[in-house]
Amino acid sequence: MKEVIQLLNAMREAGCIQQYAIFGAMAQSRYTQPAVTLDVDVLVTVPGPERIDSLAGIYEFCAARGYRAEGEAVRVGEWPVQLVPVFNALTREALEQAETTQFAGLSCRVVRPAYLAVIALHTGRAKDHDRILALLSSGKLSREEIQTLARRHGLSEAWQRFAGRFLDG
Amino acid sequence: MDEEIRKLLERQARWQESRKDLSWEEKVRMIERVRQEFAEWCSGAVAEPGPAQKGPRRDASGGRA
Repeated sequence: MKEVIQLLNAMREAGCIQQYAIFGAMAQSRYTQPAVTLDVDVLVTVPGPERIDSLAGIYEFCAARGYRAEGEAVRVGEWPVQLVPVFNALTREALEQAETTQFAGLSCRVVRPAYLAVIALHTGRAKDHDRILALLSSGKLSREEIQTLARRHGLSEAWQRFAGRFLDG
Repeated sequence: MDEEIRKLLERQARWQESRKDLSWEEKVRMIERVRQEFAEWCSGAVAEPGPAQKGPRRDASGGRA
């Protein structure tokens, strides 16, 4: 994981990404019990995002350092790293509002719990429901915070459905 | 449910829950260990326990191997 963070910081310093924030299960594990995952998911902003091949610069940067593409990811040590350009207002804000923390002496950025929960709400798979419940039970996040953020991003109905099914039943 | 078992399950749940208070680095190390062991298990690298040995092994003729 340390190698992943070193690579992300190097990408940002070289300008092939503008900013990044770790999200998905790896970010969730910062706030909850460890959530086993096979991949590291990273939100990124890239220069020239309108280009169809907006990730091409990233892959070239990685290849030049010996990190090969593997499916939709880049293999960094033992980890497939999935780089996801921000794709809506919610993910853009999640990246902008990410917190800076330390991992093994390195600075890195991680998406905050409310954004992790609302991104999971937006994605809506069974494992995303688990993530929201884990984040809520961690005590690092309240129902009200999710509700407020969900409303701001047009996900009030999805939140009400989730709460009705898993929290109010 | 037996009262002792119920208490045991509650203690185990509290112990699992307490993992959320570990440092992020420690949690990532746990995830990495699980991933590695899972990969080894899937690749068959983890040895299946064989049948229990009873006394010294013997060859087909009955002599010691």
